[in-house]
Amino acid sequence: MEFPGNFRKYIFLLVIVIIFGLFIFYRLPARKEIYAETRFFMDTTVTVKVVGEQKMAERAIEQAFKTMQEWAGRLDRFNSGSTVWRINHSGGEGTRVDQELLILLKKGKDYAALSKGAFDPTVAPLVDLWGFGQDEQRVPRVGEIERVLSRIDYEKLSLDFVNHQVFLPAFMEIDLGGMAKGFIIDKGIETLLALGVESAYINAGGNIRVLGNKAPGHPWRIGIRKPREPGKIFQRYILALNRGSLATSGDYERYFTFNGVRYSHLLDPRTGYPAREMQSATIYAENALEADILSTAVFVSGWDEGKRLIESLEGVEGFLVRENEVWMSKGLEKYLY
Amino acid sequence: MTFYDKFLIISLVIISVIFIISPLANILVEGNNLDDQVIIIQAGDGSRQKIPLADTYREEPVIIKVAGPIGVSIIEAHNGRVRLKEAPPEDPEKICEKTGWIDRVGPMIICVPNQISIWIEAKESELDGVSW
Amino acid sequence: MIRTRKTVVIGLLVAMGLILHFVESMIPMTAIVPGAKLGLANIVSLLGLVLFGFQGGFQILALRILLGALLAGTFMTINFYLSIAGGLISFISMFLAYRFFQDKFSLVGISVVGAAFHNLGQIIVAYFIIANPGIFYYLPYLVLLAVPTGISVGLVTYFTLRYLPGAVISIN
Repeated sequence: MEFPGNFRKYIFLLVIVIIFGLFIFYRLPARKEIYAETRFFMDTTVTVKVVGEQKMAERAIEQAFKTMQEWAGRLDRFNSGSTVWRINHSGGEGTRVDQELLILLKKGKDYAALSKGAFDPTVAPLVDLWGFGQDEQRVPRVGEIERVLSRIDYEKLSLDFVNHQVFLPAFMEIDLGGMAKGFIIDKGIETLLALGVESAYINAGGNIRVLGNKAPGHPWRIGIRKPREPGKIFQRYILALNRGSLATSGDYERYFTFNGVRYSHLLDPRTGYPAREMQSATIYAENALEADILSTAVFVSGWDEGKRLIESLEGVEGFLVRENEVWMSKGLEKYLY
Repeated sequence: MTFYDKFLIISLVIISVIFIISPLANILVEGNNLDDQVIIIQAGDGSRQKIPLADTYREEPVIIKVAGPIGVSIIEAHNGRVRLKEAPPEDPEKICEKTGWIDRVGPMIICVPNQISIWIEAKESELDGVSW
Repeated sequence: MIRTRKTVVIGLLVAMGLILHFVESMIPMTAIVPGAKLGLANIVSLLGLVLFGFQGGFQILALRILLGALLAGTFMTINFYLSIAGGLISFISMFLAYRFFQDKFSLVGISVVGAAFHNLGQIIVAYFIIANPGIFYYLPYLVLLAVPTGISVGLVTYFTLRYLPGAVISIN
């Protein structure tokens, strides 16, 4: 047991050990990274984040955007020649559409019935009357509104699953603004899943759906915007999600003020006027389509009716904001960060 | 001592030193912003309590009682530090009590018998997204 | 005669292990790194391993842990399981090192291996109990501390073996 004999051997040893140590040290952080890309379509920004190795992640993001943009084009009623445009310009004749669009419209009708008309896919004429589809917004006269209301009724939209046809009376128009973003997000997630992605995030205009944890043990952290303070979020209500979707409808998204009154784009298809009981309604649901539709439906339904709607649906949670008050459904607590 | 003895000893020392230094280096780079830190208390069933470190700066310490398999542990947080003040008498070694105060990200108070762990986490100030 | 002598020596070693175990619990190592131990009782495990091979060493280890737990009143508690895990892994690793690398490692190296694995075993079991990966934060500190304690345990064992009368050593 004699102590250090050969000095040179000692140094050689030390070098080997240091190299070995550094090797371990640098190997450890070599983990999957988050790749993200943002594009502008559907009048909004769409961000896709995928966790994985670079090649796979970039390919998956590209594919997801391709699918999503294709669908965005088909669902845009201002895009002449799009599927929705053809339905709106069919003059009452049947329009041939594919199965997926039929299912989407069926969902729209189902939720319209569920929300007792607070959400209505045939709301387009009202949106146009207020000018929310265009640049110039104005408060319409009472008579105008009444005339337009008679052209809104989701029950008159009939779907033929056998012959793949949609029938819409000539004087009516559909606007998928309250559901297109959610549907497209779901399409994006489906595409990513099919490519083997296990962890991803898609945000289309504030509607978000996540897939898996961002990193083991680290869910995606998502804030909810404060309606009257742009750029701020509710610090106490940050959600940690590793599945499901969040959608918010707020009166700050598109609105105009006239004589000191705020008129938002969230129009009640039953009264013809913007719903104004709430400032924002955030919905958590399994998929983005459901969250998107319900956020509109709940906002328009109003404070009490909206709460009831949220609580009546399984797997659906909500966070409602009105002047000086927030309400959170019981089940949302477990998603709080 | 043989050649291999020394090799073993030196490699153990170097590897553990590297693993000790690397998280510390991280803290140096990221800074230690008190506003952005939370105390996390995890019980055996996985449930967590969170206390922003900033909330512990006040006259009276924050006292939290957590029940575990062998009894109730008393946790005290005050002026940006947290400790396990009192382990249940059934805990033979009271390692968690002896750990003392922790005040930064990294170390952790662990009470294996009572299945409680306490640590400080940097609140990720960055969100992945905002729903609007 | 040899059997009796062996039994006596094992008994003595167990008793020594117990005393070392209690002496150790008086030294507040936890103040330096939570959960750290000197591992003095490892001296007797290592002695047993060298003197009587796997079986004898294992007997000493098992008896020491069992009796230690019964005396301290921690039998069947989590601390007991932690001791078993650490003790077993440490003993097995020492056995393997002794068996296959006897020509490469001296007793010091073997005891360092044992000390490092002792901590590793305890941390792994503690991780399963507490399900919090943050516990591994302490592993490098514990391993670092295991080096000097391992060296000293090895040296003590070495000198004890040299001191022991030939009669004891030739038992096996």
